[in-house]
Amino acid sequence: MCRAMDAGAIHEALSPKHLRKQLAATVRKIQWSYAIFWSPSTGQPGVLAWSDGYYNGDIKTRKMTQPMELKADQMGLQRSKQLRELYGSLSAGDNNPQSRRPSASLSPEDLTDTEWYYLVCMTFTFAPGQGLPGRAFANNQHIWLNNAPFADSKIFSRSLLAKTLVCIPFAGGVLELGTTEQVLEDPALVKQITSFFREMPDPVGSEKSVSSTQMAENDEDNLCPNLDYDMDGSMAMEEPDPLSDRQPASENDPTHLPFGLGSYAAAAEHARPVQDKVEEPEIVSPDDSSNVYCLTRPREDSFGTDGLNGISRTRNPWLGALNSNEYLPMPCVGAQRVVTSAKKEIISNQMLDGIEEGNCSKHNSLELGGGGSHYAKTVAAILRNSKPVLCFLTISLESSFVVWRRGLRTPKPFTGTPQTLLKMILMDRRRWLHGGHMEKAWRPEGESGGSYLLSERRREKLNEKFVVPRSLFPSISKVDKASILDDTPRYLKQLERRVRELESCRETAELSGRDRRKQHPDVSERTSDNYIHKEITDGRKASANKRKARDMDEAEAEHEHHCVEVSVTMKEKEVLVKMHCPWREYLLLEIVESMSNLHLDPLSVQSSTVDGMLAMTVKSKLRSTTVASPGMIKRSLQRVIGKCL
Amino acid sequence: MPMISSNPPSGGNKAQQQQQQEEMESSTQESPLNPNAFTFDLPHPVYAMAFSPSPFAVASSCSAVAAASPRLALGSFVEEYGNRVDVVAFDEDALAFRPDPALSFDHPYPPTKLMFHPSPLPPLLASASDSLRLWHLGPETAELRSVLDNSKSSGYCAPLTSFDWNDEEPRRIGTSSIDTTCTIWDVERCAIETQLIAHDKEVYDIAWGQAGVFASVSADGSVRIFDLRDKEHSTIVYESPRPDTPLLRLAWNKVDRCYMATTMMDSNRVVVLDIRSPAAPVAELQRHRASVNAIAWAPQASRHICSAGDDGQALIWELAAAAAAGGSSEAAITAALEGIDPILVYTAGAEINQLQWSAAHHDWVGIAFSNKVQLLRV
Repeated sequence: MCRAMDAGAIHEALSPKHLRKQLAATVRKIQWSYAIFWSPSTGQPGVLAWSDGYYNGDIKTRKMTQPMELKADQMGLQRSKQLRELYGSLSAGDNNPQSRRPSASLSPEDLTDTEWYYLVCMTFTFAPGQGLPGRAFANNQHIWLNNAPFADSKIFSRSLLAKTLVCIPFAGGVLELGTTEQVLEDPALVKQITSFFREMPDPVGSEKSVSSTQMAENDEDNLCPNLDYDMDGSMAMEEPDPLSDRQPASENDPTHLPFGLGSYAAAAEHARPVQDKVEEPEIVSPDDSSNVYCLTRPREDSFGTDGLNGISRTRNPWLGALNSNEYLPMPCVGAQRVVTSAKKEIISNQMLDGIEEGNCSKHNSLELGGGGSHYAKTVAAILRNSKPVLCFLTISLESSFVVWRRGLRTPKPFTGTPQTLLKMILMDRRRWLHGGHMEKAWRPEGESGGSYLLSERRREKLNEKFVVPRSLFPSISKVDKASILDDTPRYLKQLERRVRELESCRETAELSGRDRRKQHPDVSERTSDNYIHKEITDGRKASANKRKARDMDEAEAEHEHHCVEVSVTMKEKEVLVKMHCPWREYLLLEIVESMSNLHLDPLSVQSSTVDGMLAMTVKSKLRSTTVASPGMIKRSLQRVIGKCL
Repeated sequence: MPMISSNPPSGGNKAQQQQQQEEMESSTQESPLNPNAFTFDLPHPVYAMAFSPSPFAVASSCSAVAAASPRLALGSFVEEYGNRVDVVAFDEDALAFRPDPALSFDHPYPPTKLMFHPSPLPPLLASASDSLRLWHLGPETAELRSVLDNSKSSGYCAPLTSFDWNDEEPRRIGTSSIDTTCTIWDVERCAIETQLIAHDKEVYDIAWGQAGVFASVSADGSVRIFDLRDKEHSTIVYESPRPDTPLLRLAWNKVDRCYMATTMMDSNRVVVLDIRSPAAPVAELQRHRASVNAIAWAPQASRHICSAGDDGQALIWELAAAAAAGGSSEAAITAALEGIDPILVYTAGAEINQLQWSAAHHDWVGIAFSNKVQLLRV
C-alpha cells in the first residue's frame, strides 16, 4: 500500500508536461526513436499503463496546421501530439461516429509502421513481471533488449519494430526507450538517460495534454475485457537464460499458433520480414546493479495482483474486418501474420476462443498469440471505429458463407439454358400477356431483343422449311442451308428458261398449225365452191355428204389466233356456229345480222360472257334457196368480229 | 457430406470453424443442410423478392414476431395470369419463417420486381408486371392502393421489366419497360412525372443514384445515366464489349455512389463500373461458373458486392480500395491479371435466380431458387 502511495507521489512529482518534455529531450539527445513512460495505472491498480510518450521516429506524412517552420523538437512534439489525437479519435470513434477529425489531423494511412507501433503501445498494459516493462518494474532493474525482433516472445511480446529497447524502472514507473537501430548495450547510456531525466530540460513549446493520460486509462476501460484470462503461473517469470550463449532458437512456425493460422498466412499483405526464428535474447544480467538508477525507490515486490492478470485485451463479440492494404501497415508479430478481411474474423475469433478455453499446454503459444492478438485486436478496434475512413463487412460467427478458395468445385456444372428465368421475366412476358397484338404493338424492331424462347421455335420452323426445297429440287445435292439458298434460285431460273422455250415452241407449233388450218379453209373453200356448184346442180344429199366431210374438216382446224374462234358446222340445212371472241357491245347483234345476210335463220342462240370473252353458240337454218359454204360464213363472221376490234 | 454437422449456431464456434476448415479442404461443397441457411418452401417457383425496411412497425395478425425482424415479400413466377405475392416474416430468435397468409394477395402476371416503400410507414409494397401497382399492407389485409398505368389510347401498356424506388425522394418510382422508355412516377399523385425514351432497345433495369439521377441498362448493351434536370442528354457509362449484348441487371452502390455493377446476357461476369471513369470498368468479377442472374451491393459497406448465378453459388466479393484508386501494389497487379477472387461463397442446390441483401438487417441475404427462398446469414 505504501508502495503504491509512494509510487503515486513520485508520479505526481513529474507533471505530465514536464514528463513529456523530459521524454522528448532524452530521446532526442540520444537519437532514439521513441520514449514511453509506463506508470501505474490509476484505473487498474497494479498494472502499468501508458502514461506518456514521445515519438521521434520516421514519419510518413507530415500534417500541420500551418506550414511554418518549427524547430525539430517542436515538430517532434507536435507529431507526438498528433499521434495521440489520432489514437484518441480512433478509439473514441465508437462514441461519436459522426465526428470528423480536423483536416490537419492524421489519418491512419499517414503513419509509418513505427508510428503504428507507437500508437498501439498506448493500449498496452503490463502487469508486474509481464513483458519488458513489467519485468523491469518488478525487478527494479533496467532491461536492455538488443535485437528485439529476435526476442523470444515471452520476453517481449509486443510488436517487434524497435530493434533495441531499454526499459528502466524510474520514478514509480518504467521508462521505455526504443530505437530502430541496433545498439549494443551500453550501461553508460542507461545512466545517461536517467540522468537526463532528472534534469530539467529547456522548456519546449508544446501543449500539454493531460487528457492523454486520462485517455490512456479511458481507452483501457473501453477496451477492458469481459474476460481476463488466467496467465499467472504460466507467464514468463522465469529468469532469462544466460546471455552468453546465444542459442539458435527453435523454429517458431506459424503452425505454432493454435489454429492453423499459418494457413491464412498467404494472405498477409504486409511485406515485413517475418521472423521465423527465435533466438534467445540478450538480457542484461541482473548483476549490473550499478547501472540501476532510481530515485528513492522503494523495493519492489510483485504486486499483489490477484484479480488482474495478463494483458488486458479486447474481446469483441463483434468482429470487425479490416479491409484494404492501405489501412493496415501491420508489422508481423513474431511468426504471426495478420491477414485481411473476413479471415481475420475467423482467426481472431478462433484465437479468442482458444485462449478462452485455455489449455495449460497452450499457454506459451497463447502468450505469443495473446500478445500478438492484442496488437491485432487493438489495431482492429482502432480502425474499426474509424467508420468514415473504412468500410468493412462484419461477418458473424454463424455465417452461412464459407471462405472462398480457388480450388472449390461446384457440385455439378450447369448445362442448361443460361439465365432461363431471368430471360423469361424480361423478354418473354409478352407471350402470356394478352394476345398477339401485344407483340405487334410493342416490339420495337422485328427481331432484336425479341423473345428468347420464341426465336428458338422459329428457328426450328425455319430449319424444317429448309428441308422442303431439298426434297422438291432433285438437282440440289448439298444439304446445308447456304447451298440450298444458292441452288434454289438457280434451279428456278432454269425452270423459267425451260418454260419460256416451251412456250415459244408451242407458239411456233401453233403458227405452223395455223398455217395448216389456213389451208383447210382454202381447201374447204375450194371444196365448198365446188360444192356449191355441185349443190346447185346436184342434189342436196351429195352436198350434204361433202359438207359433212368438209364439216369434219372444218371442225378440226379451228384455232383462231388471238383468241377469236369461230367454228361453223353445217349439217344439211342446219348450221351450228360457235364463237369465242372478245366481247364488245352490239357484237351479238351484228353477228346475227351477218348471219341473216348469209341467209342463215337463227333458230337458237346461246351466249355467255366470261371475263370479257364471248362464247356463243348459234343454231341456225340455212334458207332454202341459198347456199352458203361454211367457210364463207366463217369468213364473214370473222369480218364482223374483227370489225371494231 | 454436409458442410457443418449439427452444431447449434451459438456454441462450439471453434469446433465449428475447425470443422469448416477441414471440410473446405476436402472440398465437398454441398450445403443443403447448412444450419445457417434458413429455407422457406413455396408451392410455386419464386422470382421477385423484397426485404422490408426497418423497423416494420405495423403489427400483423400473427405478430408473435418482433417488429424488427426481417420481412419478405415473395412474388411467384407462374406463366399465366394468376400469380401470388406472399408476405413472410422471419423470426431471428427462433430462426424460423412465419408466413403471414392474411397479407398475401393475388397478383396479375408474375411480378418482375417487388419493392417496399423506403420508409416503414406507410407500409406500401410496389410491384411491376404489366403495370405498376401499389399495395397497402395493412394490419389485417393487403389491398390494392393504386394502379399506375401507362396506357394511353391503345389500352395496352408495355410490360415493365423493372423499377426502383428512390430512397431520397420516396415519391418517385422509376420504371423501365420493353418499349425503350423509362417512366418516372409521382406516387402520391399517382401521375407520371416524366417519361424518357431511354434507349434504342428494350430497357431491362433501372436504378436510382440520387434524388434526380438514375441509370438504366438495355438490350442495346449500354449503361446510361440520366439526370432529371437535363432530360435531353444522357451519359453512357459503359457499353458491352461485344456490341448489342444485352445488359440485364444493374445495381447502384447506395453507400458509395461512384460505383455500380451490371451483368450481361449469358455471361458469367459482373462488371463493376466507376461512374467517374466511364467506359473502363473498375473490375470484372469472373469467378462464377455459369451466367450471373442477380447482384446486390452490401447495404452498409461500400466495397462489398454479392452475386448469384446459374452455378448455384452466391459469391461475396470485396473490391480493394487499391484497385479502385489504381494503386500499383502487388495485390492490385495480381487482381488485374487474374481477376479478383471472392471472399465468401455459398452453394445452393440449384440455379439461383434472385438475390437481395436486406438494407435493414445487414447480415441477411435472401436468395431464391426453384421453389425455395433461403435466408443466408453473412
